[in-house]
Amino acid sequence: MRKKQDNRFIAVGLVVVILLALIAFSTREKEEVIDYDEMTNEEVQLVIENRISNLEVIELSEKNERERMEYYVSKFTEAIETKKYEDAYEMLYDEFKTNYFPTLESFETYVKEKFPTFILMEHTNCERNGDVYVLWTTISDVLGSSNSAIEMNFVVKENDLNDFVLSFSVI
Amino acid sequence: MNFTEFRLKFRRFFRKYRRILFVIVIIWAIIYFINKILANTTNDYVGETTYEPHTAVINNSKVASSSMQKNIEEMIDEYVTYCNDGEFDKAFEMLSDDCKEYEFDNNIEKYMSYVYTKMPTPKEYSLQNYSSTEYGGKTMYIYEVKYTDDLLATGLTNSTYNYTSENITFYRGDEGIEMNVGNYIYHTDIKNISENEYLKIDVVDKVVNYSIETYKVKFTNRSNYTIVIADGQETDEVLLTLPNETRSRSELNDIVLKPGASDTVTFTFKKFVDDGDNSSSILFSSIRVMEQYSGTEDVEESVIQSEIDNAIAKFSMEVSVQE
Repeated sequence: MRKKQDNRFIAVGLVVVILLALIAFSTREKEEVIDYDEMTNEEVQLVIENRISNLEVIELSEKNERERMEYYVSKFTEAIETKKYEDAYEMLYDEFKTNYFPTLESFETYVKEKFPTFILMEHTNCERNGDVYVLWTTISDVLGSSNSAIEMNFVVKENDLNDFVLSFSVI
Repeated sequence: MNFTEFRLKFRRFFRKYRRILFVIVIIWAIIYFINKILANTTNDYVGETTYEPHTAVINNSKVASSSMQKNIEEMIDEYVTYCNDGEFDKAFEMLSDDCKEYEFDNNIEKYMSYVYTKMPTPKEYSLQNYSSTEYGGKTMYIYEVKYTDDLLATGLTNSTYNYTSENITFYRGDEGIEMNVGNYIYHTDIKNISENEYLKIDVVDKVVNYSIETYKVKFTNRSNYTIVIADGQETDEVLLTLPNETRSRSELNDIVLKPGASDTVTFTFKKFVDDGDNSSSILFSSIRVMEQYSGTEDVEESVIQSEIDNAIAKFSMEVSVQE
């Protein structure tokens, strides 16, 4: 009698294990097999950028909201520092671009004139208004004197992790 | 121990404990696969945020149902759009009848003047549930709505970060969800009376705004003497009483009734609707029936004091304001 019960328990256990194994198999993320040999340089670049972006998303998910907003602003200024003006321009809110920098050239001219070559940022305050964040920032030149510091506001809206638009106070 | 002995021992051990071993293996397998399933299904990364527009920030009050939350969002959006587009008649129509009457006297121009103080130019908005209160068996959800310029469009260029705000209340009425603006919460008829041979005091009604309560009180002088309700000569002449404290009125005007006269006076007291207290009564603590009354302006203090000392009667009266 006891042996029968034990066998029944083991049978039920095995069924449960098999079911769980099937569920685990069906929910597993399919590993994308990428054949880099068949890809153009641009396609490889895109894949790498996507992977970096995914890593950024994971990293951002562990940050609090103020840290994330600061990260987005630093991503913007980093693009300026590394002269990726188009990337920085793409981060701007459309209406802000229309209002102040209708062309990439106008934006490039402005940032070359106003932003230091090596940017040092200090965020003195951050406030949330609904889903829009305002950061009060002091920007100075790493190599320059403290007198060269400029006060600037950044306004950031996060649509999703690593998906954001921003604007800043044009001075 | 040679290999054969080891093999026999192992076989005996396995035979003896095989059921326990099976159970251990099955439990391990279950844990392993559950872990795998959880690992596969929790890759949806979400950023932590403090913005929870429907969670009350003042107290742990009730939260509107999700369908009501959706309605609230739609109504605020519609309301602000009307105001931004200058369609004030449509915005005004969205308000509850009580709000139109008691906050704006059914006067759209008065309403427009109010809107201009909050939204002088087209605004963006954000909402945050503040608290809730109960009235007439209904839960009234109070939201703070902040109006700002389009911060993203300007980046705060040549401007500073500022906003206007108001409390907007939502509740389920007879015709669906009703909406009050202008910090107006509700109105109630009180009609409580206190009277004696000299004076009748009738608390007619009460209008509750987010941070003030306004009472309309009718006084009837039944005597042939001047009656002073308040003229600043005594302290705390008119008080709103709460369970553990009293509040003075905001107005400073004198309330003096000629013989046989009636007058309706409005009293305003500071009181937050979500402070957890209920107003109990209005206390008129220094009513004086004067044989002679010369007023208080440009009158010598000794004359004023002498008239008070010779008053026919001095008493206090209290009228309940409980709903």
